Amino acid sequence: MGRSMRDLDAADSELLRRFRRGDEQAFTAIVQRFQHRICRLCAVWLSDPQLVEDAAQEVFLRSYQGLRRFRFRSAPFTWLYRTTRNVCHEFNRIRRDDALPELADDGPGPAGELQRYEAARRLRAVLAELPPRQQEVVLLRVFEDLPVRETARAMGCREGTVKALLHQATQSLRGLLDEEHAG
Amino acid sequence: MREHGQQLKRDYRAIEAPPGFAARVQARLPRSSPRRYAWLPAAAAAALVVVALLLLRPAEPPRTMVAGLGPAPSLTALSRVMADKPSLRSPSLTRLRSYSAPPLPPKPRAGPPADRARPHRRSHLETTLEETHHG
Repeated sequence: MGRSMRDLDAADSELLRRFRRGDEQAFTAIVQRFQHRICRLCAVWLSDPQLVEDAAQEVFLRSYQGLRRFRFRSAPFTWLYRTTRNVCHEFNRIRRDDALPELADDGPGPAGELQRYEAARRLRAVLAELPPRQQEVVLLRVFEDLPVRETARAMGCREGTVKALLHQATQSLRGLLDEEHAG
Repeated sequence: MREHGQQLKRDYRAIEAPPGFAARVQARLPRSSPRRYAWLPAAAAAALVVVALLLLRPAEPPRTMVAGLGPAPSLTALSRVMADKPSLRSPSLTRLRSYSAPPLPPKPRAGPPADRARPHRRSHLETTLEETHHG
């Protein structure tokens, strides 16, 4: 039987408490538990798939310092999500400022990385049609299966706003996907 | 659309971290935990304060005398005096219970106080009885 979201949050919080008490093994467990989710988020948000691993590593390095001050007002993943969002925005901004050419859909790059994040590229192409806040709500509520409450905490808004954004995003996506399917 | 949405979700969930990712993160972590040595600055500051106080103490200038009075005793000196004073212990209850008082000195032999208070009445009664008996 699968564990509920509440059980998972409790297990995550317990890991975090151990880490805060100085248990270094607990941080290793945190990395192992969240590495895939963080890499997914980075893969969707970063315009350069070659930067996914660097960005995800940066998230965990910042977490090593920042999670010691975690106050348990939300789920640990909510904190990690916000850090991931900030890191990805920074990476995208640096890349833009460096005036590197945008990678084309079939552009050059290590084949392994591009193949690994091919699904993320398709997803990013779909989400790019939505406003940024709707993209976030789809990622968290639909793809990450976060409860409305945690989604609101991660986005820093009210639960009602999450529901409204999700409704708008669903309407937009339905039109987009129907068009794509018909085309 | 629902099927497309589900497919997108499956694709998203299929994305995984590259192999060995956790080990590479571990390798980049700072060697020494900041928490383990977080007490060092505070301890160093406290030690400095203690050393400074110890160094300043002998060099303290003599206290000024106030209007011909002797120098005011320092709290340190007072505390030493208090420490030297023998402490008065309260007697234990056991000792109090086992305490035997010394015997009282014997009372001086004397007649009953009533007789001593009314000597003339007694003699008068005795005289009357003797007279009645003999008479």
